[in-house]
Amino acid sequence: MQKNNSIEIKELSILYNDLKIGLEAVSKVSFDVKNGEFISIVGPSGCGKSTILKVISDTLDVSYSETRGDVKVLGSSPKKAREQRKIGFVFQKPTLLQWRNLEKNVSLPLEIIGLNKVEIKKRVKKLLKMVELEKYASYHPDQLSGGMQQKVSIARALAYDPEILLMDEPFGALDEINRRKMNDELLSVWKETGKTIVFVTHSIEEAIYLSQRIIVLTKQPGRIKKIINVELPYPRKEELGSMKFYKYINQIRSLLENEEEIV
Amino acid sequence: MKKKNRKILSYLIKISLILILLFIWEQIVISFEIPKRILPKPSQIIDYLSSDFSSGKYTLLIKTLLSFRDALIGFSISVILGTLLGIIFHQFKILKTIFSPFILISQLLPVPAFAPVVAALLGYGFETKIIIIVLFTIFPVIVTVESTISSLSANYFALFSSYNAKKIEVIKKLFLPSILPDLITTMKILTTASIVTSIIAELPLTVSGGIGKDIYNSFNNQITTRVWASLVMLCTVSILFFKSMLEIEKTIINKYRYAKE
Repeated sequence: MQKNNSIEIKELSILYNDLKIGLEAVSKVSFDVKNGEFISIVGPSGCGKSTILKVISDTLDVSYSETRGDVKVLGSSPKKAREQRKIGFVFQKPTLLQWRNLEKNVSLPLEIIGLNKVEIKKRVKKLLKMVELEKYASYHPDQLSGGMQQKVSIARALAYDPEILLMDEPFGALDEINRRKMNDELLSVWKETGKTIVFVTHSIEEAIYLSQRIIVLTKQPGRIKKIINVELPYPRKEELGSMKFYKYINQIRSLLENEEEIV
Repeated sequence: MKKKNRKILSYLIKISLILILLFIWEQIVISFEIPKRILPKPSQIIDYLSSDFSSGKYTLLIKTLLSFRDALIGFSISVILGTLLGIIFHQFKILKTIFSPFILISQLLPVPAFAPVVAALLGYGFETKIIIIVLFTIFPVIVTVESTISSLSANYFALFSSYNAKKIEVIKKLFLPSILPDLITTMKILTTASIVTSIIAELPLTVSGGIGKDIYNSFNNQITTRVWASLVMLCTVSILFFKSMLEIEKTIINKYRYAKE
């Protein structure tokens, strides 16, 4: 494994074998992610983007799936990386515990790790401050909007300081305005923490706005169609209307045009 | 109308309705000259109860509390053991497959038919009574717990997996809080089931001191007033038991703010 790579994936194929005919979700995908890099995966529905995240985080249900190829996370297997808590995961739904308030939701991983109460309180305060929700510490998830819940979810994922952040369409359920706000928030979190981020999204624009590189997948079985380097400076707010930005949108759009969506 | 006033008003209406019904009952018995062994008057039932209390013996109350005590023991065992088994059944699906037919059968069998069979096998004492109560109340708990955990989103499991959480942590921090609302609902239903089973289980057994046996005997001896008096005691205890479950439910909902997603 190269020293400055967080993730190395070689010839990864994922098969689902719970049906009579095996279903190949992902076929011979290879790519690397450098330390501290922000990379997006885009592709039509069913192309295996979420499944790839599950393989990296070792949360794929092995009772009905089979993985081939080589995946290295921070120099070791995904299983070791997960056991060492090097990976933070943000799901499509906030996945907060409704019986706990925000403070206790963010402290959940720290309780499991066994950190002492004083340290937990300190860290949680810092994390809630980072996502600008310190005032809502004693609120419960049902009292917050979807966007705020996702912010908590992100804060929680960062609680134990993992090297890698995996995000599976985290802003997919938000409206346009909140999505843009969350994008900026995420970029500032990335700037502040320097984590390696693998971001799965449906939105071409979001991928271009956020990432340094974009992996475009084909329809199922997902193969790498193209890996695009986004050569735009950060912050990209001013870039939004630029020709270069549109060039990227068109490029990815035409790549995906030939890949019909799986209904 | 203010909430507090509305509450008082509905309370008064309930009391008035009961008093009216009791009055009508009394009048019907008097007018139709119904004999005591068929239907006693409410006034006679009240007299019977007050003489039982004033004599200092409190026999009906003590017997009712004894039956209730057994119901409560069986109920508690069912809840704790049932939760444990529900979690185990979720973890080891094969156990669920093996025991499913038994669960189904247990819900179909009538208690009075099954109780003597169990007694013949296990003896006629106190332990058997508790076992019978547990047998007839535990399966709803197991089913509720297992199905609630199974219906948890896969994301929650993935979440705890990403923290490399040990199974005991998942149980403490995810399973138990998740099942609490549905478990309390099941417990509410089981309050009456456990008392009924306790009463019926007394019949084939040789345990003495329960109100079930007493009702059976006084019914056979046509001391109908005593039967009614016993029923009044039983109803009171059942209602109080159920209300205490409601209070527990309210406290938990308020403290933990369970809300539909």
